[in-house]
Amino acid sequence: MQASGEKQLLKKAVGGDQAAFGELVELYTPRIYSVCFGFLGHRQDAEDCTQETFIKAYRAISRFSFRASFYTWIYRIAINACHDYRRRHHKVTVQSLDREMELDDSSVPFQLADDQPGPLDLAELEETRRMVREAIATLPNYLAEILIMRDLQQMSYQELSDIFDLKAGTVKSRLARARQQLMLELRRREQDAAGQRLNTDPISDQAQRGGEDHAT
Amino acid sequence: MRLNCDQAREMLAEYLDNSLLPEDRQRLQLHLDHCESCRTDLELQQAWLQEARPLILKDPDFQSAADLSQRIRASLDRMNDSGENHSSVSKETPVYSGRRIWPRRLVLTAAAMLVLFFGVYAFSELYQNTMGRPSKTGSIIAMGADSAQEDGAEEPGGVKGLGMDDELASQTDSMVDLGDDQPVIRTESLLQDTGWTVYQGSLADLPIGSGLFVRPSSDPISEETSATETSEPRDSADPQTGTVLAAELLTSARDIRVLVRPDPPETLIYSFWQNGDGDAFWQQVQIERNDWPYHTQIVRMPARGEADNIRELLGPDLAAEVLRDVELDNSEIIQILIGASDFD
Repeated sequence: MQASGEKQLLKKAVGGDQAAFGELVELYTPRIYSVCFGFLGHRQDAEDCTQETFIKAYRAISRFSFRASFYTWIYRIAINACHDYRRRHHKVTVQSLDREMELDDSSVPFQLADDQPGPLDLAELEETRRMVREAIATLPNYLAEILIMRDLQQMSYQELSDIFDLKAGTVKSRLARARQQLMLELRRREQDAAGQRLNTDPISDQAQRGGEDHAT
Repeated sequence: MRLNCDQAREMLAEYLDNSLLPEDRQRLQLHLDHCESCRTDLELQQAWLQEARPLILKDPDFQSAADLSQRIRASLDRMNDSGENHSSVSKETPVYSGRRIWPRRLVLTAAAMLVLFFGVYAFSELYQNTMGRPSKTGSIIAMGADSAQEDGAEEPGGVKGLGMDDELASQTDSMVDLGDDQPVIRTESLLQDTGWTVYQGSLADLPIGSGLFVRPSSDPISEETSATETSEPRDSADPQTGTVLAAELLTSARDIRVLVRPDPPETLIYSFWQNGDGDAFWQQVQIERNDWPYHTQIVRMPARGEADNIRELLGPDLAAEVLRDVELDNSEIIQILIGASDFD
């Protein structure tokens, strides 16, 4: 993952070359931003957090040891920055470990809005998207980070093992758990939303009743 | 051999990637045929991958703005113009090591809970070699080291076990700057650096009742390590009463010792031993009380099977969840560390 050109940049940056560090910023900004967006779910927050990541990295780059690869190092800083950002801004509700299997009926598939025609499509798509983002935000950090780095960043299990210093088996079992917990949360939210619609819209109530028998 | 659910779960991701070996795929399929719970897991994962995940990947906001890197570079330039550069944060003070000076890498966020983990083998060996004098600072309580008892290290200030000589104490006074300009390495990263696996991240994020379980991701400590009886910490609190658990840390293996301050002083100093790659060293951080939201206590559990201890501490439901991901090796548990309530 670390090309020789990048290595040269890194050496210069560690030696205090600001321009070289700037080049690294160029190289890594898209990746770091999308990590931050995965965690935080908002463009402005993700941009702020990306900036924080690079500022922290810049201040620490002189201590970079070449024992680790740069991407491992910078991703760690980014992930820590995201955790810190979530905590500071209280935008996350961390679930306790005993909460994840509360859904009574997990057989309800996650319903996407995109099969519902009409002018509200775009709004519904955005609403569903928001629901997914918020559901990710409910994952505890140790699950969210694996899910984001694997499923949104598409990193390999080996890379995840390196970044998080975990065994590959642990990475995989956390990934499975993160996906499962996320989908349970999504379904719970969808059921809540469906329930609200049923309560507030008697016409829609009748229309949807057939497809959402499980809604409470 | 048939798979159990934990094994099956580890394979589900690769199953969905189509990267399982044919024989493993067959074994997993056999398991799925008979296990409704794992089939549900699989279905949930498929739903995420096929239905929900694309919404995020196709979200226009998932891509960074074209000018973001330029903006970041500009802000770095402004930092430089204002006289701050990356060398300005080299306030790091070398951390004492039993064998070498080790660059301090550990700075925790202000609200993070700090705990001390160190291998008892390394501890007892290095303690005797390098840290013979007991601490006079009264800021650290150590549990469980053979050497502590042998040295009679208990001091009026409540110090047991780990000693800290004057030179080291003076180093720690100036050791850590917890300003925002430090790279944040959170508790979980700290523990990851030691080779321990953390099941939950920042304690600051944990709601009351959350579980936290720590175990070795490998076995870095020699088999010679043995469970030993230790002095009770002075202010060890009954976990059943008083300040109850904002978070629990369970240390599981016989080769773990935990250091923690049971009575919050003005300044907390936390240290841990790391024993890996044939080298043992000591890392240390310091945090001001005002920045420290947790009271921390140690409770030593009876030496029984660790699963029983975990069930007793967490209750059956949470314990079942915690133990689901943990392979118990039948080693006796030695200590359980409890990070408890806010100071307030």
